[in-house]
Amino acid sequence: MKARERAGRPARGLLAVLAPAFLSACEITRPAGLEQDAVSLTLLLVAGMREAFMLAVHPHRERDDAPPDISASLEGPGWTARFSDTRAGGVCEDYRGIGPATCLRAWLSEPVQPGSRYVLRGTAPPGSFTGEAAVPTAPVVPADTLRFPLPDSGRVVRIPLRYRVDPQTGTVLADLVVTHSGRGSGYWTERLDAGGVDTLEINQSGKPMSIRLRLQAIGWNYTNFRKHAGGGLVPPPWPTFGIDGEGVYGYFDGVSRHSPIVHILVGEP
Amino acid sequence: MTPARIRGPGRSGIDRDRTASAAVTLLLLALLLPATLAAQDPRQVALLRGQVGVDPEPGSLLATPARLAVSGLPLADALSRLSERSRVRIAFSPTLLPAPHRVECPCMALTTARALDRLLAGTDLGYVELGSQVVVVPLAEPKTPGGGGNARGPAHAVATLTGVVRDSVSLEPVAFALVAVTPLGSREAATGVSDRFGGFVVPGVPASVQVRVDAGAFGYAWTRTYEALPTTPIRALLGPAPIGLEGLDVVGSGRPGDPTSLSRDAFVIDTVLLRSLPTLLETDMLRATGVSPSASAPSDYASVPFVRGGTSDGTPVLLDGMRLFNGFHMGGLISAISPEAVKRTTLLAGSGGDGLAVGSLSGAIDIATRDGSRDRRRAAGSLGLASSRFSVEGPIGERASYLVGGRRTWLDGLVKALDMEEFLPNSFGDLHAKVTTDPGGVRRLSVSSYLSWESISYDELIEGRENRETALAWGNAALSVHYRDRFGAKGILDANLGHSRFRSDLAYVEQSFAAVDNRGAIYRPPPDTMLFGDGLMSETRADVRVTWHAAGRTMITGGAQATRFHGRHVYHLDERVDGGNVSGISDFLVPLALRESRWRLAAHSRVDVPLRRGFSTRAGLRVDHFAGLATTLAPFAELGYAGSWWDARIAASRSHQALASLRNEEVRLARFVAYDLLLPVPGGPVPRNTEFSIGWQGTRGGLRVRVDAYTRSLDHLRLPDLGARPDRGGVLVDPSLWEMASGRAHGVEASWSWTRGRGISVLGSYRWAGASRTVGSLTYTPSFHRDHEFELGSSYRRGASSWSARVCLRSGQPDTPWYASVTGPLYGDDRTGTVLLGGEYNSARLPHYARIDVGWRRESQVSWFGGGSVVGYVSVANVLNRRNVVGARPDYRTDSWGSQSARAEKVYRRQLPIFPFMGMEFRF
Repeated sequence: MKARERAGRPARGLLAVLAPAFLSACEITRPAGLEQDAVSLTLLLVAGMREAFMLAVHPHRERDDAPPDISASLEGPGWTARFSDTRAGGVCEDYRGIGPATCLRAWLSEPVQPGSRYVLRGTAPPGSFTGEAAVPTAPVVPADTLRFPLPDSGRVVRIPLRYRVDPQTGTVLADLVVTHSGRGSGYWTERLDAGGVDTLEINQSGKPMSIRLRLQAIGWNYTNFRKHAGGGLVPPPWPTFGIDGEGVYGYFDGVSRHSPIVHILVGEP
Repeated sequence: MTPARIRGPGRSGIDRDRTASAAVTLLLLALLLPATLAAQDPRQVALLRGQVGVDPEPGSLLATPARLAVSGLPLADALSRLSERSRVRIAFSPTLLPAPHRVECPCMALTTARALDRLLAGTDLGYVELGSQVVVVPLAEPKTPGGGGNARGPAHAVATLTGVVRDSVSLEPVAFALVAVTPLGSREAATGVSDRFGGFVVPGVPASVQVRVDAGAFGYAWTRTYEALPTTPIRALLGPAPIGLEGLDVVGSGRPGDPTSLSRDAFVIDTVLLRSLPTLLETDMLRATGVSPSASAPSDYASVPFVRGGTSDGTPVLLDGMRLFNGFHMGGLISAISPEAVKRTTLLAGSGGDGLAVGSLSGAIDIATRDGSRDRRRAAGSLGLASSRFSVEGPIGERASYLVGGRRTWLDGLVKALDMEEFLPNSFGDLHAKVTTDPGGVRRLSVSSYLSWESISYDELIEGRENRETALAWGNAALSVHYRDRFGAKGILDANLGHSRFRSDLAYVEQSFAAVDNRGAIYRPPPDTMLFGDGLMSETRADVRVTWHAAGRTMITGGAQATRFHGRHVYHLDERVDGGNVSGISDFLVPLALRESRWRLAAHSRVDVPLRRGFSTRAGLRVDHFAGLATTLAPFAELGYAGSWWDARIAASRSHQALASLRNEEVRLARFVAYDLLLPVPGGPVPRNTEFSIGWQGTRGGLRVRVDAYTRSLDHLRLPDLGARPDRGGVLVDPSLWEMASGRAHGVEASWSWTRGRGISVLGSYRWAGASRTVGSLTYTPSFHRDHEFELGSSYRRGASSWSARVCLRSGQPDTPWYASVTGPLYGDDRTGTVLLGGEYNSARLPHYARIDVGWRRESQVSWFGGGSVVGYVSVANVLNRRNVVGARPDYRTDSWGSQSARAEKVYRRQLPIFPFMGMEFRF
C-alpha cells in the first residue's frame, strides 16, 4: 500500500469507516427539560476530622444562577452540628463540575469516629432530605515495611498486598509515593480490590526504589456513586448513595485512612 | 355398477416403511400426516369416470337412504345437504359445478344414487363410489349436439396439464400467471397459477375432449386450443395484450407493482414497484421491502428491515434459495444485490404458509434473480452517485441463457483522486452470474453464483513519526444449483444445493519510527498490532421439495432439507485500539474466540385443501433435528374463506431456529451499523416462535385492501443481560454474556393499493404494533421498535416521464427518560463525577418521524447498440429536510474552556437529512 504523508490530525474512528454513521455525524441537541430546583449534595466525613464539608449544587441550572439554599444538620453519637454556608470556601472551592455550587461547613463536637454512624437532615428548595452513613474502619496492613527483590526482567514490578477491611468498606484507595533511586519521585492514587488482596504494578527502571503506601477505606454509598458516575442513564431501581429526599440527591459517606504509612522497598538492601 | 378402477401406490410401500427406523418414521410422519387431510388422493382421481343411473349394490354407500328433500337450492348446497342427511361423504369440486344451477329433489325415500341422479340431471357430471366416499366428477363424454344426450354414455378420463409460462420475447419464466383450461362447450374451467419458475399444474381436466388453454398475467395473455389435452408439458408464451384494469380482477392474477396481489402469504416487490419508489442513493430491492407494513427499518441507514418485532437474525435474506450473511454495503446503507439481476423480492412475514419451508423465527426475505434473456444479447446497467452497475445477458443455444452483472463503487477512487482526507477509501462491489437451461417442459437447471466484497485499506504517516496501516476487508460468496423436473403426472420436484459464506479479515497496525528506552537510547520499536482477526460464517444447504397438484385444487408439498452452519469468529483488540485510526471500533467489536458448527436436518409437508362453500384449509408440519441440541415440531394450520370479492383467514404456526445473533440491538450504534455475527446456541432449548394471525383481504375495482392482525411469542432467545447500564457496551457481545430471554409482539397491519387509468397508482400501509423483550427481571420495549408506522407512496406516469412521492410518518422509537443528575467530586481525583438518573428503560419515546421523498424518472428510447432505453432519474430524500432523530443520549454542553456548563441537553443523532440523488439506467 502506498503511504501518504499527512499532518497529524484527529483519529478518524470507525464512525468514519462506516458511512452511515458518518452521515449521521450531524447531531441535534434539545434542552433536557429537567427539574430546575433539583439539588445534588455530596458529603464525605473524614475519620479524625472535627469539621465536615458538604457541597450543594443545582445540577440542572446554568452555572451563573444562584446556588441552592440549604439548611442542614449532622447528627453524631450524642451530638448535632448545623451546617453553615462557607460561600464557596473550604475544600469545595476547587469544584469544577456542573451547575452553581456552594460549600457548607459544620464544626463537629468530636472528631469523626471510624465505625460510627451519622445522620444528615435538612431542607433544600425541592423539600426535606435525610441521609445516613457509616464511617468504615481504616484498612490494616500487617507490616510496616515490606521488601521485594528487583525483577530480572520486565518493565513492571508486581507487589502483592494483603490488608484487612471491615464490611462497611466499599472502596480501598492506595496513596502511593514512589521514589526511584536517582530519578526523582512520583505520587498517585490507585484503587484496590475491597476484598483485601490485590497487586500493585509499578514501572521500574532496573534500579532500586522505595514506595510509601497509605490505604484508605470508603463506604458503600460513595462506592455506588463512583461505580455509576460517567456513564449513561441509570434506570430504576436506583442505587443507594446515602441521601434520600424529594428532588434531593447525592452521596453521604465516610473515609478512614490507615496509619502509619507502610514502606515498601524494592531492590534495596 | 362397474367398479371404479383405482390406480395408486397401494399400501405396500407404506408397509415397508413401517420397518424403517424410528427416525425415518418420524420424518415420514411429518410428510404424510398433513397429506391425510387432503380430501382425495390425487392419483386416485386421475382415472375416475363419473356415471349416472347406477344400480347400487346392497350395503354400498350409494344404496344408503338419501333422506333428502330440497327445492330451489344451489347444486353445491344440495350436495352438501345430501351428504349431511345421508351421512355419506360426498366429495366434489365447487369449480366443476354449473354456477347458477338450482335443483329440486323430493328424495326422502330414495337411495343416494337416485338422489344424485336427480341432482346432477342436466349437468355433465356423474358420480362414483370410491372407498369411503362418493366422488362427483365429470361424465366420460360431454353431450354433443345430436348425440342423443345419453347420460349413461362412457365416462371421461381426467388428466393433468403441466407446463411453463414464459415471456414471449425474453422467454423468462412468468410467475403468478393464471392458467385456465376449459373444455369446449363448457363454461367451467380448471385453473392453476404459475409458480416462481413459471411452472404450473392444472389437474382434473377431461383428457379426451377439445380444450382451450388460457394463460394470463396483467397486460399479457396467451390462448391455444387443443384437440385433446396435451400429455406433455406445454409452453405458454405470454405476449402483450392490453387489458382494462377491471379485467385484471376478472383474470384474478397479480398485477405488477401491487405487492399484495401476487401472494397471500407475502409482500412481493417486483421491478415495477421498485422503480415507482423514489430512490435513496441507489435502486435497492432490500430497502424497497420497507413499504410492507410488516417491515420496519431500525433507521434511515439500514436497508434490511426488521419483521414483526423480530430482528434481522430471525429473517434470513435468501438469494435464489441460499442465505446471504450481511448482504449489504456501507454498514447496511445499500444492499449488496444488484437490482439488474433481481426479478422480485418477496417478504414473508410469518413462519406459516410459504414460510414453513424456511424455518426461521421471523419470516424471510426471498430474492429471486432473473434468468438471462433468451431472444438476444442484452446489456443493462446504471451510473449512480455511489457506484456503477453493468450486466449482460443472452441466449446460449436454443435452450439456455446466461446473465452476468456486477457493481463497483467509485467512492474510493473519488476519495483518493480528490484527496478528501475526511473520508476513508471505502471500496465495494458485487458480482452475480447465472446460467439457466430448460431441456423441455417444466424441467430446468440453473446455477447461480454471487460474490461481494468491501474493503478499507490505506497507510498513513503521522508527521514522519509513526505509520498507521489499516486493512479491513469483508465480503460474501454464494453458489446455488437448482434443478426442477416433473414428479409423476401431477407433481413437480425442486432440488437445491448451495453454499454461502461471509468472510472478514481485519487488521490495524501502528509502528513508531523511534522510541526512547529506559536508558535514554533511541531505538525502532516493533509494530503494535492493535486489531487483527478474521471471521467466517458459512452455510451449506441441500433441499428437495415436491409439489403435487391434486384434483379439486388440492396441493400437497413435501420436502427435506439438510443444512450445516459453521461459524468462526476470532478477533483480537488491543485496549489501546481506540487511540488509533479505528477509534470507536470497540463500540462495535469485542475480542472474540468462537468456533461452532451445527447440522440441521428438516422435513416439512403442507397440504392446501379447498373445502366446501368457499372455505379452504392449509395445514403443515415441520420436523427439525438440530444436531446435538433438540428435535422440534413446528405445526402450521390455517382456515380460509373466499367470498366473491374478499377473503379471510385465521392461522397459527410455530417455528424454530438454532442460530442466534451476537448483536446487542440496545446500543445506539446498532441503529447505524447492521453487520451481524451469528452462532448456534450452545445448548437447548432452541429459540422458538409461536404466532397466531387473522387476516382479511378485499378487492373492489382498482382498490385492494389487506388487513392482518398477529400476536407472536418468542421463547428461548439469547440476548445479553442489559444490566444496570442497558445502553452501554458494543454492538457485538461475547455469547458468554447471553441470557435466556423471551419476547412478545403483536400488531395490526393494513395495506392498500389503488390503481386507475391514466398512470396513477397509490400504495399505502399502516401498522400499529407492540413489541417487548424480557431478559432476567427486566421487560422492555426494544429500541428499534415503533408503535405506529404509516407509509404512502404514489406514482404518476405520463408519457415517458413518471413522478413518485413517498410519505413516511412514524411514532418515535423508545427512549429512556432522564430525571436527574447527581454530581460531586471524585475522592482522590481532580475530576467531578456525575450520575445520570433515568426512568424505566425505554419507557419514553423519541420525537415522531416524518419524511417525504420525491422522485422523477424519464425514459428515452434510443437506437444505440441496436435499440434500447435510457432512463434518467432524480430523487430527493427528506425533501422537507425534517430533523428526524434516532437514538438520544443525555449530555452537558461543553463551554469554550472545555469544561462542562450546567446546560443539560439531550443529544440526538440525526436521521438522513435532505439528500438529492441522481443517476442513469440503461438497457439495450
